Amino acid sequence: MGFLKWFLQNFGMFFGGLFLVYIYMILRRLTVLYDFLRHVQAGEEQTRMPVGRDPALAFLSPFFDRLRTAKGGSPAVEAVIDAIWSEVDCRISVHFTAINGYINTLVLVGFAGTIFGSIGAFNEMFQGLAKGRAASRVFIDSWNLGLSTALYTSLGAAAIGGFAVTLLYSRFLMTRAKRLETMIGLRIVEVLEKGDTCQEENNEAVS
Amino acid sequence: MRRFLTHADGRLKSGRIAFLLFVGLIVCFSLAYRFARPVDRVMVAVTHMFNAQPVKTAPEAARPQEKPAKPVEAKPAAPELRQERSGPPVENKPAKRESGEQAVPRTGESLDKGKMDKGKNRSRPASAKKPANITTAPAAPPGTVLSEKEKTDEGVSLTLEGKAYESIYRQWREAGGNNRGALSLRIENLREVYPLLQMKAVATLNGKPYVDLSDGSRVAEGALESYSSTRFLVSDPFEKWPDALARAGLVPSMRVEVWYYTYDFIRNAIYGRAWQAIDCAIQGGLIPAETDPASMDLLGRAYAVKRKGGGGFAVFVPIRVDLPGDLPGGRTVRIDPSCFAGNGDVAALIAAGILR
Repeated sequence: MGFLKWFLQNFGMFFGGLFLVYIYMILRRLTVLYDFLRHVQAGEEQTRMPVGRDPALAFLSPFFDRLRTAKGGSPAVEAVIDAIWSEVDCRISVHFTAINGYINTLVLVGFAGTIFGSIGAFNEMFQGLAKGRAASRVFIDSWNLGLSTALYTSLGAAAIGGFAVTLLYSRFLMTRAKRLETMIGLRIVEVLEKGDTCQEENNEAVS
Repeated sequence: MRRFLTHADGRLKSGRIAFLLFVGLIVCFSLAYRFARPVDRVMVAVTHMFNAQPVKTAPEAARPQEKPAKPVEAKPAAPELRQERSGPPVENKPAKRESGEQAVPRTGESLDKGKMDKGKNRSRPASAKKPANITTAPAAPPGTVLSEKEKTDEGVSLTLEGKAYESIYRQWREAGGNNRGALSLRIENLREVYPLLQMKAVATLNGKPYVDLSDGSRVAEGALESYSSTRFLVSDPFEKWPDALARAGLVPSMRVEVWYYTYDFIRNAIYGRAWQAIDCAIQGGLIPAETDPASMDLLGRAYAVKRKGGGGFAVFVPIRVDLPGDLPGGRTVRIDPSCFAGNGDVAALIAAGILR
């Protein structure tokens, strides 16, 4: 509780609350991404081929089943493939985009907090000097009534943004996301080439 | 646990997990905040910087020597403040350097603490006995435009135009030449006007300076060296400074005192006026000439004199002298303001109807 009290005092009630909300939203998106990407191979390993019924592609199983039943060469195949990539955008890419958006917004919120805090700090400073108060008192009041908000919001935005960007583009997330796209492409080819040979896919999945 | 965190198809319950992660993050930061805090609260000590300049001092033989501290007992019927000397005996030390006097405050600048301009030391040695002539300063210059009196936080104050203000200020400073040493002295309304007398209100704890009550900052070592060894003790400090003392964490159960530290030139001016009052009373036969000044207790009041456009100072005007009970003529002698008619500041207060 002491930390929350300090946080809200120094960041301000509004900006502090906003920061906490954004941190929660970023964590939520990262959790969803982790859920989708945790089964994908990480690091520099070769992508497994054939892909087969990889657990990482479990969320696209209905789409692959639909692709399997589509007649080869018909427009339905292209439509299903487009639907698969749209689904990947909807379930994976949107979270990357959202987190990027949150980070950009946090930077702007930090900037707004700096302006807001500076206004409060200068107002307090000029009032104090005009009233002839002691300089130490004026500086303490300026810190408490704006300067801390101005500095901490900028620092917070930079820290959270930097951490989130580092995590986004880390091997844990971005590499796996790209590998997932690779696996989806390979799986589409496998389904199209093998047609409706479900038995062969089951054998490959087992081996 | 698995069912709490995952769906039946193996997918994670992202909302729940995200909330737990968020709470975990807050807990981690709270622990880091708690362990990173020092055990004791840090008090910020502020070093007060003064612009005092070295001034020319009189030869050693003529300089007044500070006497050792002499505690003064508070009288029950007394108004607010007692004056007491403090500080160690200085016989073995070099004579105390008079702090630089301040030039006349300019427009917009009040006589606040610590604003010391360069100036020359004009105080005359206190050991030189002056004749009993109470007129030590010329009256207000002719043609002085005396402005309105107004009620302010410092009580009724006088506002003057520029030249009259400067002239009266100089005369008030020159009244310090009449200072012949310590007296038992009380000032009625010092709580309201102490800033205009450039005094610093300091709370002491167990006899040591602890906090500056004007801004709540801690008093650093040596911060009060430029002040006079004469300081004024506040009676009932917890009634007069309740909020400031509470903010500093001081309570009546502690050994707390509040003192007004003053500069030498202000002390000299106050004492000079006090001696002027005693001389006037002796001349008028109100006080026997052989009365020991050490047995007298003088009560006075400070009046604010402000300058149009900004700036101000306070002057001390004695009101009465309390004498030992066994002296003829009663115990209390009222001081007529006409004793100071020769002083420009008092003359201006009388002309404005503030003093009668």
